[in-house]
Amino acid sequence: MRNLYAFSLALFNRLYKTEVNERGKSFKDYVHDAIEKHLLQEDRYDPAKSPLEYHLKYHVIRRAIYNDLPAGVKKLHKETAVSQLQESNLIPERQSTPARMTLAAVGYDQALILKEVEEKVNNDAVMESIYLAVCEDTFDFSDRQEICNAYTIAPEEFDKGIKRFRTVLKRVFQEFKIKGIDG
Amino acid sequence: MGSGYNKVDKLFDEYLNFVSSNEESESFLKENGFDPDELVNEGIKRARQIQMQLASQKTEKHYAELKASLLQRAKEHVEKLLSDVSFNLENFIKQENINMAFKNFEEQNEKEIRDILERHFLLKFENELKEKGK
Repeated sequence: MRNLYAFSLALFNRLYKTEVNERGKSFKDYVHDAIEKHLLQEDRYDPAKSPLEYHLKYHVIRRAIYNDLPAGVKKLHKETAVSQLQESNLIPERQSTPARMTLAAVGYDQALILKEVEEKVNNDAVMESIYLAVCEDTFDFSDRQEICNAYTIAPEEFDKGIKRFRTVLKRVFQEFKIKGIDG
Repeated sequence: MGSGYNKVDKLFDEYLNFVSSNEESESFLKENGFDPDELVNEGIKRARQIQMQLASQKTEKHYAELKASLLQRAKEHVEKLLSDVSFNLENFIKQENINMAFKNFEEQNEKEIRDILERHFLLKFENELKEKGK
């Protein structure tokens, strides 16, 4: 349950400037609503498809937070996603991570975030490789073995490197202030 | 912007996974000024409230179903009784010790008699069930 609160807080804080959004909800309410939905069996949880924690985070909490965003932001998200489809000629979202919202739609400067991350991973060979694998190549963070093979990294070095990388991400996203939503 | 969307989105997903992991969530909540134990207690309290509400709804449903089933049994019993040509209401009331507010049965129509008997058997079956449950 602690992880759910952390997830909801991290997402909520990146999307809203205020502690309570225009629907009168705080990050805690989204966790409580998710628990209630699950206990009332209104969340259509299928244990065969995903672990419960993942389901509650991505299918219930994230979806609810995104659904409650102001209409203008959702419209902007749709337009961004469509234009991206046209540009890349690819499906922008993985089926396994539903309700994804472009951070650009809520006022994040994408280029600036990337610049910050790039600067912080510079001069660390393992972090640089992970960054290239995930951002420039088609790998995901979970593709440990594949990244190790493709970038010739020892698995134990990868494990240490990804820890440093995650700390970098935490610092960058924590520091970034959003421009868009007042709640 | 197109490629930037994917990259930052991926990085943000990883950030979310990291701060909400078993290893990191406690310190993340503390760093943001929240007491993790207090939050978890709040969540557990909320979950218990919902579970109690669900249990109470289940019990109510169970009793409603039970009552409907007993009433059906009572109706069938009365039907059988009234279709018996040898049935005598006055004797039956005495025999079953049914407390009647008025004694003039002949003035009552069949529906009224049926209602009285159904209520009587419903109570009787409910009491039998209670006795069994003791």
